[in-house]
Amino acid sequence: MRTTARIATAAIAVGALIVPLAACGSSEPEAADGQVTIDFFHRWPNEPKNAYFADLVSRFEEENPDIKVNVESVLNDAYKDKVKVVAGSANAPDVMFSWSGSFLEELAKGDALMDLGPWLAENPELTESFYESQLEPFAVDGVQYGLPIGMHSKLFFYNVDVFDELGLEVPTTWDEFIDVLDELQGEGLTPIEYGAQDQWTIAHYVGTLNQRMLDPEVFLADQDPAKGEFTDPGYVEALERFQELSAYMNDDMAAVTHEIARNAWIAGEAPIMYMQSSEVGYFGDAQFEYATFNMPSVDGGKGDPGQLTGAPEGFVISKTTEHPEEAQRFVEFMLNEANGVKYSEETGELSAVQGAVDKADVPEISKELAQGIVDASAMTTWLDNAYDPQIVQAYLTETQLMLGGQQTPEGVMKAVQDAAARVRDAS
Amino acid sequence: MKPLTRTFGNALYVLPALALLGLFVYYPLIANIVYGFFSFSAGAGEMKPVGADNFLRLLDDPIIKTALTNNLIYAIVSIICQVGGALVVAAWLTRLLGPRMGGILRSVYFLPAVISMTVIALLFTFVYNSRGGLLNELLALIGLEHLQTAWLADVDTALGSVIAVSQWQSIGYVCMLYVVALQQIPEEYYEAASLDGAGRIRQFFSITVPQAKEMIFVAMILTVSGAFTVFNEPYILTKGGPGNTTQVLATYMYNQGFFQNQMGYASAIASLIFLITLVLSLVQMLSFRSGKD
Repeated sequence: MRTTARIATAAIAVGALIVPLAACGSSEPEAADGQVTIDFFHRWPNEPKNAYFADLVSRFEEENPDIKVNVESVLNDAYKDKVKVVAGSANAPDVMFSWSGSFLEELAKGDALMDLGPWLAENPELTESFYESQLEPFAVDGVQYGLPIGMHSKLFFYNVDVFDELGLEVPTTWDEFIDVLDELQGEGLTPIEYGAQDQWTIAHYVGTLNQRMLDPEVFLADQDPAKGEFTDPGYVEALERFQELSAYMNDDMAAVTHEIARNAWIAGEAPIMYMQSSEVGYFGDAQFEYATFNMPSVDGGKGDPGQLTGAPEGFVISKTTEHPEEAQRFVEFMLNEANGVKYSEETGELSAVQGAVDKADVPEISKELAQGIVDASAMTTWLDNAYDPQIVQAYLTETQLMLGGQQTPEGVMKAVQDAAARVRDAS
Repeated sequence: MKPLTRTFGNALYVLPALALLGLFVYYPLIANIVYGFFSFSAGAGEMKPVGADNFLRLLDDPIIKTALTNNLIYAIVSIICQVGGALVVAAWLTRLLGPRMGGILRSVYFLPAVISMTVIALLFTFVYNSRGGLLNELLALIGLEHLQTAWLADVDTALGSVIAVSQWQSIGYVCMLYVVALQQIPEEYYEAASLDGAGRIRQFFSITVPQAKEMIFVAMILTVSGAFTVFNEPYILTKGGPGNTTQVLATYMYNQGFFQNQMGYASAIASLIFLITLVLSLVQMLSFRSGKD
């Protein structure tokens, strides 16, 4: 009896050891009859995009019974961390979401991405289906690594009802902007709703103000990690402008996420908020009419006030993929015109496929915003995608302190310059 | 003298454990220190040797100082609340309350210890929320509106708020360890003491504390090394913000490694954390051993 019990226990123990080991070995079971499985990794576990991509994948699988798509998704910041670890490894997902700018560049320099050039050369109609300005940000040193799905721009959204009631005009210069804000504050309103707990929102304000303030040459030169110095006095001035604006924002901004702030704006708690064009999809509940204006020109600013801040996002294919042809078919399917229209309709995003937004059944304002991006004199990429992550980190954390009154604009730039010096030394 | 085969046989039994320990504990430990001498990113494979640069940078990085100070405050508060406070609670549970009430309360206090820290931290973001959060609402109810603040975003309250969550979770766990120890103190000691005229407080310091010494030692090691490796609470509640005010060594290491892509420097920080916990454990082990009779 005792021996039997012992043997049984030992067997269970050994079994317990083997099961996880076995699970490690066969992580990718090849399906029967030659079906190929590709892994697709995106950053939208939240609605409406989660459902949109789930539906898209099932439609793709129906049309392509020989391919099975495995979807995995995690939200923004976690996505950045996770992709940096898996990209380039043997376990890299075949198709991945990517921002344009430094995020893409880092992946490209890590030798993790497939050069899409040869494939696009064979399919010129695919290349031509996109707005050219939206393709460019996905090229690094002339090599095309990604294709865009959505276009983005950052604008002040304002409550037209409140503006009309108070007889306010849309501001085009800084002084007019401050006058409008004073007027709104005089009425007992919080003029601008802002959620600064998410540090990327700081990047959007500061990035635009920097572009407005600085000489375009300085602005571009500092984006080069080997040269960036950040010593131009315009940087400090841009932060001072931001400080000036913050006096017109909700006091608890540091404790508020962008999402909470947006909901407060939709509920009419403040008339103005700085948001992305793609956020229109969330405005369903707004009980007022809304419109947009670009960041006003800044006195003494050397940058082009007609520029829009924003950058496209899209998809890349892993260099280590075992099924390049299937991955390409999937990307092509996701970015075809019909799906561009569907994407715009169901998620409120602006598809980067030519004419897709126009054909879509979306609010008039979305079409105008898309046209605005296509017509923009130039686009300024997001600050957090323009510089090395070390510089971004110093810039955003110190500016967050500045908003809380714990840091000066000069102090912020000192920290940025130190980070830039480290980046220069390393490159 | 043992026969050679016996020694060999013994070694054979130790081998599996040794292999696992070597592979999953000692190898990463040493590899981590070696990585500290290189500069590399999480994605790219290329590693550039940079000598002791990463370790030297530890010395004059102001955020390391902030993080160390925060860890130290974490440790001090944890010692007071978990090592000290939990002992008082345990004594109260075992000595003053009846078995039924004591039993119920013991479970109540232990409950937070079985909830995942991630869940707790998310829960507390609602408690601390500046707009309609439980804490601010409670303050309003009892007429203390002037104390309302954005707990996790205010530079003055952020660190305290984060530390409080850890105490809330851990006191019950340490308390349980103490209860086990206190139940083994013979009742006669207390009877004798009360015959001699010792009050409750005198009994606590003269009987409970010395008798629970071993467990206090265990609790010390647990809380102090916990305080220097803490990650979940600050990461979920504040991500080290506002600015870097609630940055601790572990969150800063994560930030350097995975956000700023400085894996080499992150390894150097990891080595620092290891060194600190190693030294603290050694000091505690030695000092408590010398106190043994």
